[in-house]
Amino acid sequence: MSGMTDIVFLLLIFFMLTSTLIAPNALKLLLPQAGQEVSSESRIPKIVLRNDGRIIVDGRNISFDQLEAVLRVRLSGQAEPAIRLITSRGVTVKETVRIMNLAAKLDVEVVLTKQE
Amino acid sequence: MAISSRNKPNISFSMSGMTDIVFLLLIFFMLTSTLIVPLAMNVTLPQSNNQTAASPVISVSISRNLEYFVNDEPCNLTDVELKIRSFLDNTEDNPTIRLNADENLDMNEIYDFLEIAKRNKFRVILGTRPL
Repeated sequence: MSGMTDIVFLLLIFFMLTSTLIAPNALKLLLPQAGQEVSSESRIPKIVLRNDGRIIVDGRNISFDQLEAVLRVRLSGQAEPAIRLITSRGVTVKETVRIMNLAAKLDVEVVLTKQE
Repeated sequence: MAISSRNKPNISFSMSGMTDIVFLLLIFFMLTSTLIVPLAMNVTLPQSNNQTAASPVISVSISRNLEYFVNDEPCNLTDVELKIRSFLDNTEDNPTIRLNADENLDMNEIYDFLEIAKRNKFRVILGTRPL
């Protein structure tokens, strides 16, 4: 029986570890804090998501495929890169998460803002 | 010498009791590690592979038809705040809330909830499903 006990112990330890190591699949949502905007206005790229599907980075209209390259250039050399994501009325969660996934891939913090 | 002690201690060790306990623990941890709580509501989460270390205390779900659920209990936007507070009586300062929003929802609905979270200093994570 001791052979089986060994195997069972091993499995027990494996499942104990995996059950504690599970991290939830989720994205952090950050809202702008008061007073933060003025100091960092120029360095943080502004991405505007329009409800017709257009993506505008600092006033320039670009496609989703180009976005990664554009962000890499804009954020190179910054210690704590961040972007401001501004969504218009009618933009869905899906489209926003697509941009946030890209930002997560590039290790960039996303600050969400509603377009007034 | 015909007389010898009959009650010698039994030196063999029986493992079966311990095996029972270990089996029980094994089954418990197998179940807890694989059992992912399914969403009871009709919410299709957006897809992402990102993982966060934060462990949420409460989950708030918003379905496509703008039905709000706090920990699976239906309610509407006006009393979401009260409901969350009632769940969070005496926990830590900045509790994390998991927001399960349908992927086809308008972002403006999310901002309505984020305003509430900001007012109460809740941290919010957006629930996703793996790609």
